[in-house]
Amino acid sequence: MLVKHGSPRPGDHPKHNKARVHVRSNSLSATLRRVPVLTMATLAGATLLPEAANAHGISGRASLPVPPWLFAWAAAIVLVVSFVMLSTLWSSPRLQNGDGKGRRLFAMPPLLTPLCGAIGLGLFALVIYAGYEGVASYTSNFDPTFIYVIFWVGVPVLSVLLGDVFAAFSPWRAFARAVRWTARRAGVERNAPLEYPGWLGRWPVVAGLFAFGWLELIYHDHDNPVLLASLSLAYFVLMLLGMALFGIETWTQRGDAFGGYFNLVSRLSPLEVRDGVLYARRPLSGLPSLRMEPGLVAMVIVLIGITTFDGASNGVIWNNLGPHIQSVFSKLGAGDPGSDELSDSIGLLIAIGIVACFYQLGVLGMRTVSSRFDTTRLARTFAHTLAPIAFAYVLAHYFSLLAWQGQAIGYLASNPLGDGANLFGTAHWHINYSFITSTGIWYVQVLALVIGHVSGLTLAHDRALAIYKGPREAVRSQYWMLVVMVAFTSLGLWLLSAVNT
Amino acid sequence: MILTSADSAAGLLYLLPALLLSVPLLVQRYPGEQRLTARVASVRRRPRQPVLGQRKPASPMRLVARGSLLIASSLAVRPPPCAPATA
Repeated sequence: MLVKHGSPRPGDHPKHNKARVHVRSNSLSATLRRVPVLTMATLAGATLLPEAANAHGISGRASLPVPPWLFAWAAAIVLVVSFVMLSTLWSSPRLQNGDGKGRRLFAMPPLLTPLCGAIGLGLFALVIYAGYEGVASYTSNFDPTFIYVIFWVGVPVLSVLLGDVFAAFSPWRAFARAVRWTARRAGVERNAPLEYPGWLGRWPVVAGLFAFGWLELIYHDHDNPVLLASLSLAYFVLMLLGMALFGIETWTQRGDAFGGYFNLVSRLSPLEVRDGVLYARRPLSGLPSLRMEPGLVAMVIVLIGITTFDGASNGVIWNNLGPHIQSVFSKLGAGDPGSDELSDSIGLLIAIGIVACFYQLGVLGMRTVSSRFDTTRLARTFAHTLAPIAFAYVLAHYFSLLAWQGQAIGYLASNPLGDGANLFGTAHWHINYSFITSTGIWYVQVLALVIGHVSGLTLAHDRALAIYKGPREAVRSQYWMLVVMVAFTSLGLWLLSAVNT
Repeated sequence: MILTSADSAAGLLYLLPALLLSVPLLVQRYPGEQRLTARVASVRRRPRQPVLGQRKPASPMRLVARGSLLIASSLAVRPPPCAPATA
């Protein structure tokens, strides 16, 4: 068994596991004037933050044949070659209007949806029960591993492979649908009393994702099972309230942070369930049909920013800078955990800000290509191209967490309360740390980042062909997106590299 | 100091590809743009290849029963009708 220095061991704190285990893991002229300033500010900011890149790293060191920064160069070359190939071989939009298309595979059994909903409700009940009745230990209790590893990391991976599985298992959606079904049977049916305000868009999802990221990465007592159960219950009630007011599907897409997030990444999947039928579609073709609405850009940026901060927060820079900010808050009267949380909150906002600057840089650059689109419209039009990057960041940063700590669910399922039960005979299972090496994880991470960014570039190229008048404008706009993608790839690899290598 | 010179050098090495790519764009230069645009335009002008789903008219040879179908048609009291003009 290969347990390298610093490897997580059963009994380690999931958050700290994560830290150690995985590789953290208007006018044209005015626009032109802003671009260089923004570029320099962004790159300077990125240079300041990520040597924190040691962050979030994998335990042990990968033995690589070349220096890790060469991987960033190789990834950049792959992206440039992809850009050239897309520009020359992909001459017309192929992924737009992909909604509602696809090859019919088979009809899903009618009872599958209620069955999945019942399983989702059962798991939710187990989370609540284990939280209140189980031992207050983050490793022996079912809740922290289930919520932070299986739910937060595992479900997005499943969504990319199999489509929007969470829509079927979502406990609040299943409960609301069951209530609606019962009401219909009883002859009591009513429409949603309120129309969802258009200006609100996906902002509730943004708020929910930010809150979850803050809870996971910053709040000092984030792994307290009682707290997790209470918050899960509160979220359940909030979701039911939203669905009662605005309708089940409307709220699931725009108000449910997890429903919105998992649906976003499921659009990368080649599989889709529509009207009870499973369809095979072109990979990525689900994303261009994403509705451009307020909060969409913020949603993907927050997703990437959360992962970025998770990586950076364990690194040299933040470990040097954080205490200074913390001492400022301490002098202002904030308590011990309070000042730490406040400084980390600022770090999270900085990480989100840097990601936003990278994207804004690309958008401002595209704005110089054609004056027909303003920056807001361009930002929304190309927002879906960040979805594969968000997933690539999640997969790269949390892959080792999922691969290693995810195994803990095997014994936690048998002993969810941590009271010595052995319901399924798996309570004696252990985490096998040797089934993948640090070097293997590094290659998976690099591959995930490269594929994610090439996918983003492909989506951006396809959208550019659809919205720009001629090939010249489309090609020029994609030079800027190429820079954005290369910058995100370099940032991601930098964040992952130091501890890993 | 937040950043040592070694940290800066490491960061610069990672970000250098993005920096190199952004420099010509910031001065409104798009290297290789004309060749790419010309290539895209030539691809667009090229006559479209027939799509896989579009079927060509069946050749006269396919209208004549052959092989086992010929034997079956000969032996049958009521053979199936002739194949349509397009398969």
